[in-house]
Amino acid sequence: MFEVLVVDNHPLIREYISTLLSKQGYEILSAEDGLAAIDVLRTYCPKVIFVDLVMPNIDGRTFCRIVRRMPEHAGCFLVVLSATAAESTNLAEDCNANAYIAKGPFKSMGAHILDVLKLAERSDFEAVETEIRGLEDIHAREITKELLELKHHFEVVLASMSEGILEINGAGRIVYANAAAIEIIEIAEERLLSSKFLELFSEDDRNGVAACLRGINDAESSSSATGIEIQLGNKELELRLYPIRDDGEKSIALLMDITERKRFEDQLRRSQRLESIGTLAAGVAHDFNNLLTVVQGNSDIMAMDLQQTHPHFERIQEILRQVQSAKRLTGQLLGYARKGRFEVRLLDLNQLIRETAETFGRTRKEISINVDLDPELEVMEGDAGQIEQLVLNLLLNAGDAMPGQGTLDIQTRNVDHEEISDNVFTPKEGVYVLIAVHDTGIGMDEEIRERIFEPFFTTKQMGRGTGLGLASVYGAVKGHGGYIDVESEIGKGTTFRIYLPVKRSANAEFSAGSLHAEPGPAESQNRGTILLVDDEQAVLKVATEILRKLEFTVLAAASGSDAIRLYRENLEDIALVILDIVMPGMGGSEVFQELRTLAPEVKVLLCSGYTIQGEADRLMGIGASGFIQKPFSLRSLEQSINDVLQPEGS
Amino acid sequence: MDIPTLAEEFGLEEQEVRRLYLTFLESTEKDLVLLGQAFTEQDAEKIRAAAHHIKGAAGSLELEVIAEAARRIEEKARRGMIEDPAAHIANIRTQLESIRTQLSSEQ
Repeated sequence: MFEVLVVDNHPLIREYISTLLSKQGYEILSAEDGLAAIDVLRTYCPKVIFVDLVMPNIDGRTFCRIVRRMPEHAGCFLVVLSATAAESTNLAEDCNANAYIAKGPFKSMGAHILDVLKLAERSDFEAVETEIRGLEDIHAREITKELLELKHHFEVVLASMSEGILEINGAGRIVYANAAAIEIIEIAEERLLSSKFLELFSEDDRNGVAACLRGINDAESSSSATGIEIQLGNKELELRLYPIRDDGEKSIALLMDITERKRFEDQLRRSQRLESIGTLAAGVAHDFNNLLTVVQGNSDIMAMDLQQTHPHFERIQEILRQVQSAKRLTGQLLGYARKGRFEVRLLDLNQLIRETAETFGRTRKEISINVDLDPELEVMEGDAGQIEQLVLNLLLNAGDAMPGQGTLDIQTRNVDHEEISDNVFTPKEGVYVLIAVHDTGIGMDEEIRERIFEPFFTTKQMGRGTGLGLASVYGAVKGHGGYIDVESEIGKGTTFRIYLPVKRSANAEFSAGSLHAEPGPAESQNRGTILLVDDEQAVLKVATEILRKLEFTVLAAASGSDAIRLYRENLEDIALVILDIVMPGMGGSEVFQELRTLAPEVKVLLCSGYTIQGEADRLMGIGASGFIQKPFSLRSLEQSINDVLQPEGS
Repeated sequence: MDIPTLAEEFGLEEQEVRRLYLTFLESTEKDLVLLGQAFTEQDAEKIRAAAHHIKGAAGSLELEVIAEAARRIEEKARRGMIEDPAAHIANIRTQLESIRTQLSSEQ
């Protein structure tokens, strides 16, 4: 004789079957519901289980499903014993039991039970009877059928929800889990059901969840449930708990996987922080450019007036060299803030990378450089200066990560937007060129990786890094509508991947990727009257002097309204207006419009501590004659004036 | 109540059948208390569940009067109709009392 487990929530049924089978010599254990039965099965291995369908906690169908997934009970003979067996739909499919008995009067039910046990005794567990025994003893139960249909309806609804739903009994054990909950928690149903809800979470979080559970059961209203964010394995979850008011201390837990949302929020927060730092950086750069204009202008004038043999001549040259360095720095800041001067050309990226890598290689001979460039690489459109700076910054950064020897791999290839959509950003559709720079250096941790694109953030020794290299890389990539990602591990090295979109504009001219040569000084021929407009007194003063040195007559205006008045009074004489764009009160744009109304052919050379992108670009589009970026040298100002007054081909 | 016949039909000893009836009396009493509470709370679902419990057990023992009274309560509650089950409860209690008397007289 063998062991039998009876699972039924009515004590009468348990007692009848237990008494009947004990007399036949079977060893019997009983359990009042699915949850209690699962506990029994941890230590007891019955050959036959009789199970009711409708039970509190874990019901019969779920219990059968769980037993069928327990390898230690693989040979178990399952018998569904239920008053609702006759009306149940999908019974065989859901329960996968060996036999089904409809509950009825004991006198006939007892016989069916004994028959089924004989069947279990002589056949292996693969024997399956789909016919329901005992149907002749019961009447049709339409009520139950309707109830079951209603239950089935709710089960379908719950199974199709994307939120995970758990039912937790008064003892804190999970007695129901829908499909989404099983997927989120990643624990098989047979292990999840009957397990302790709190044990899903790390020890640190358990107290919080437990307090929340107590809180909802104490609270007056079931709508008081508030979500808590909690970690489950590598997932971020939002957990909401609701009490079941009319059923003891039971609760419902609603689980939402918010991992993706959190990652996106982090990304957004980081880029917002970068944007705001960028705006700040651009403002600082603009003001510095004004100051540098004054330093440079005055130094230029002094240098002009001095003989080369003068003891201060070399000092002035040094000041001018430092102004150039400072100008590069403010240029990088503006580049980071995406207000860098932007000259769009078609670029041969491979050639640009090859040249930059060669230059870099000459400075770091102990690093072996592998260049793997796709010969079929798409020609891309961009600013050669910025892209060259970008590549150089990446190489310098990689070099710094490898203080001794190391290997640097540079790769280019064409990629489809779909190939890069695994990342946190969602690239726009199209073809991209990928520049990947991999070093075998020291690598970096998560904390540093989060901050590397912030301006002034540096891990390098004081005086070695400005903290602007990668910040300007970021700015340049964003300025080109591209994406950047970085992968790094301490001790394993770092890989930067830059994706730049391939797009061509009809009028872009081809550049071989090298920087454009500074135009040399030219003889100015057309001396005349220039109206100079700038709100900065110091700039106004030094620029006036420079223009006078260049033998122009200068009318200086410290505001937009002064400029209009002076222009109106001297309309016939003024050959050119040099106009600052950013001024308080009447700004450069407004002045420009007004001047055009007074004289449609007016020649205006725009000037700004910001760069051409933005307002200046717009004014160029509607008729401004040129642009000069502060700080400017005497020579570059002269060149710009000449370009406007004596355009090529005229 | 013919205990010897029932014992034969159920495949049990007479004493075991008596114990079975005592279990039924005990669980049905509990269910009747639940039924009363559920009515006080005006909770149709609880009324239905308690009545269903009684109906199933009475059916197993072929106690048709109790099963029918429980069925009526269950059906009303299933439709969300909450009616005072006092009359049905009284009816069932009378039946339970009669069973109790028979059990003690046959002992």
